[in-house]
Amino acid sequence: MEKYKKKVSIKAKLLGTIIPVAAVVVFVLILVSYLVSKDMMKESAMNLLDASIGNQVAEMEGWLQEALKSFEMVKKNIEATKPNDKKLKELLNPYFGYNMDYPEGIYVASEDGTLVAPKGSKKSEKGMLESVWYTQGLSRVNMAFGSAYTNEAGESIISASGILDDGEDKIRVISADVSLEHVSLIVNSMVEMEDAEAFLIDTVDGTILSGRDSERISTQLSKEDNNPLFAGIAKSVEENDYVMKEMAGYLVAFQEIGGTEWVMVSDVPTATIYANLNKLRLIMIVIGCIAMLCIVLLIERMVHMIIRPIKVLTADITKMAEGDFTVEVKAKGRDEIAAMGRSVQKFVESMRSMIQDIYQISEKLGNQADGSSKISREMYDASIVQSDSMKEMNLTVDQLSVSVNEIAESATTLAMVVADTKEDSVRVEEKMNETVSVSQKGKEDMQKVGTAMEMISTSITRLEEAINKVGTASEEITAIVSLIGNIADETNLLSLNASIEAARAGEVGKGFAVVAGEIGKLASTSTESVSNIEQLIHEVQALVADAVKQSRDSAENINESGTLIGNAVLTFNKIYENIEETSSLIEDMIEKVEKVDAVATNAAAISEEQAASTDEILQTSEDMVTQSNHILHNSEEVANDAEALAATSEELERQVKTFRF
Amino acid sequence: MKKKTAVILILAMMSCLLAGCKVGSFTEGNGDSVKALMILSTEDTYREMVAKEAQDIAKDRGMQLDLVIGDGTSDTQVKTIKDAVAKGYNVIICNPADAATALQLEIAAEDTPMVFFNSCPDERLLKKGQYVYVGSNEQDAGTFQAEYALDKLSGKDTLNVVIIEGENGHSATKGRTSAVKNVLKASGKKINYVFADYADWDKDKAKNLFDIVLKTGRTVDCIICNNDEMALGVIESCKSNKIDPSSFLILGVDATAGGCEAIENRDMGFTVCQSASGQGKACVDAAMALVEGQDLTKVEYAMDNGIYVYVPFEPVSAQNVTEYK
Repeated sequence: MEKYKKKVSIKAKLLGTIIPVAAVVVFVLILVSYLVSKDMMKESAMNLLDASIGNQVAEMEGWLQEALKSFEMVKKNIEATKPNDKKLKELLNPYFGYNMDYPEGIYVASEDGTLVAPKGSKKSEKGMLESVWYTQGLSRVNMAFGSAYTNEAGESIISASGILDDGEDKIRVISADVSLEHVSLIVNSMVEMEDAEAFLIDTVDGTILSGRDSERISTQLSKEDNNPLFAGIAKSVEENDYVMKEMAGYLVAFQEIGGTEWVMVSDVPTATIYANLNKLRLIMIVIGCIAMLCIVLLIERMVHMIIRPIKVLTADITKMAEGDFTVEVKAKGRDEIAAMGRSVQKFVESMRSMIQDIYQISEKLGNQADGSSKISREMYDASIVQSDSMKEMNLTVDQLSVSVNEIAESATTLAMVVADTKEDSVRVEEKMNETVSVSQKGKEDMQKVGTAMEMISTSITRLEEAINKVGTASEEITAIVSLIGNIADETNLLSLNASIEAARAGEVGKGFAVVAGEIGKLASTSTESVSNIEQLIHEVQALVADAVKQSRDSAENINESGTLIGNAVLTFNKIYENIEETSSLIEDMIEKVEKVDAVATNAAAISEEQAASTDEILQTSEDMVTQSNHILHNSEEVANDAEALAATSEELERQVKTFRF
Repeated sequence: MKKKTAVILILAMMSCLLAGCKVGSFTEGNGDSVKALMILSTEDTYREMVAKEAQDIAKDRGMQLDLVIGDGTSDTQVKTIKDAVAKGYNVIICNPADAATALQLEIAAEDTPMVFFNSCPDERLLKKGQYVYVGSNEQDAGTFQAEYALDKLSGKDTLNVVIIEGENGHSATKGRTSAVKNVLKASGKKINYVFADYADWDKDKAKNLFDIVLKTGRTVDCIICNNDEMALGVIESCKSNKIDPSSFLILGVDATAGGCEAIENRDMGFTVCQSASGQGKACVDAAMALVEGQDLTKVEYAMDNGIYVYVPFEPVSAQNVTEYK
């Protein structure tokens, strides 16, 4: 409630919003127009300076042209008439003091050092041939202005000079002097802009030909000048950069002067350009302030007028808030506020009739509330009794539920045991099947071993036969060897006889005797070999007999093993049959266990369902207890409410009585 | 609904028109029904070469190009231009008698576009797509001359220079002379301008001036002339004064037939070829672009600002003079 105490009026709110916005708008408007004006003023200043320097240059060019044309006329006249020095002097005399632009008149110098000057001229021949005007005059026929120099009288001068083209072999230079002070006068008198200044600069050597400051005339520009403006101008002139620019607080424009090497420089302090700008700024600020003041006053009055009816309305509504509906709201006009006033009046009227209705209704309501209060008290008592009965029933159902659950648990345990047994017997059957297949494989393996043994026996019999064949073969060899032995013996005899015959033959038979000897030797060697072979064959035969004996022993051993193996096969067969029988017994057993399992599972399921049902019953009876408790509670509440209602209807009656209508 | 249809129709017609314009502009060399008038201020060897080349190119393009040679005054030119506008010429190619009077010429031409050549009006008087200038960058000619002179006279610390200038106030006179002076100044040598005067592009005037220079008896190293005609005048002066022209370094501009011959004879050292054929072609190209309402973007050597076409200068010395005969 604290924060509503500080009342902020609509007027303050409106003024607080509108005035800052108006102030910002006015400020922005002034700023934008100031900036735009600044640019425009700067541009117009630049244009003005440009136009000013353009005019100055045009005037300067015009002046130069005019002066040069006058000189050229004199020159042409001299070239055409070719006068002697005396006549020339007469010709030149009238020009002395004739024109204030060149008061000294026109004079002619000859390369032999003679000078023809008008009467009254202070020009002397001294150092004439080395003078600036003479040497520069030698460099052209058409007269033109040359560099600045100081004459004998100490004046800064520029001369317009050129060679006289009279066809003579003697070179003569015609010249006329203009003082730089005079040029300055011309230049400065052409300045069109306030505070603007103009210089004339000879770009050949950077000499200042004219300017407001006579100290500077005929001095040279330098980039090291203490005055940054002159240093800047020197830099621009040296770089031939003749674009208008701002330097050292001045706006500087350059323009070349046609027919010369001169540049006109015009500068105006930027402060002058911006002086008007400052005035403008001041005026704008004053206008802005006055505009602001007017706006504030206007808005304040407007807001005041607009919100006056709201104040009246507020007073009426405040009364209504205090319960006084006897107010009469008067609304004049056709705006939103008047519409609001009329609506409030309608509201007051409808409220008035509504409160009357409520008052009557509340009286009736009070009587009804008293009646219902009594009834609800009685209902409360009845529900207490019902609740107690329900609690007892619940206790009984609870015990029943516990018993049924126990039965269900036991049945489940049984089913589980049977299921385990079934699993175990299945595993036994698997093992049994494995055993059957293993023993069958063993049986097959044993049979394979028997077959192998028979094959070995056959092989050994064949080996024996082969060895016997070796024995027979060696006996045949023996016979052949003894035959060879006999042959050898006979050969030996023959050789003996031959030797004897040879001896008898004497010298003739000597060769024969040697052959017979050798044959004899061969025969005895053969005999020896034969006996050796016989001995070897005997050894072979003994070995063969030995091998035969050995193989027979092996055959016998193998036959014995074959018999043993046959017995083993038989035994295996018997084991196999036994195992198969066992397997079928186990299968029978499994079938029976499965039946038991089914029965036990069934029993467990049924008893679980039973348990669930009793749980549901228990739940229902518990719900009933809760419900009856609720009813008890509710009926208590109804009783309380009925009492409260009675109290409220009394309060309502009292409240309605506070309204005035 | 009717309004919408009308708008769509108008748009369609406009796009057709625009497309038509585009197609027209791409057919290069289609100069049919274009009437152009070329105005020379006076008779002049070089300008007539430009005009002849322009006429040849215009003939190839099917453009009608008539030639008028004036008497060197702006009054006559203004009259000629007014006549041309009355006769319905589409474009005027003009060599202004005095570039300073360009504004009067433009006023006389009314809406007819103009191509200025040979003498350049002030930049403020040129306007993109309306008044353009065809020429060469005069500064380049002067720069070539000064560089050649500095190269040939590199052994000397002081150069004694004579400058024979063209017409006073002519853009070529100003551009060429200022470039020569700037380049010589930048060399750091002491430059002594023995003589510098205007000979109005004229051979006889130049001869007369150089006769006087010789009379002064001052030392001369090189004579830089703004054109070849004046250089030939200098050579004639030397010959009539029994002086060997090759004892000086004489430089010209334009590479005219006479100039090239003088280089071959070693009388003259150097010239700069201002391509008359290039300028003639550029005049016709620029005129065609203006008639078609375009800027100069498709014209060769056009500057980015769209108001100048600068046909490049080419240096000519004894080494390459045969290429320019």
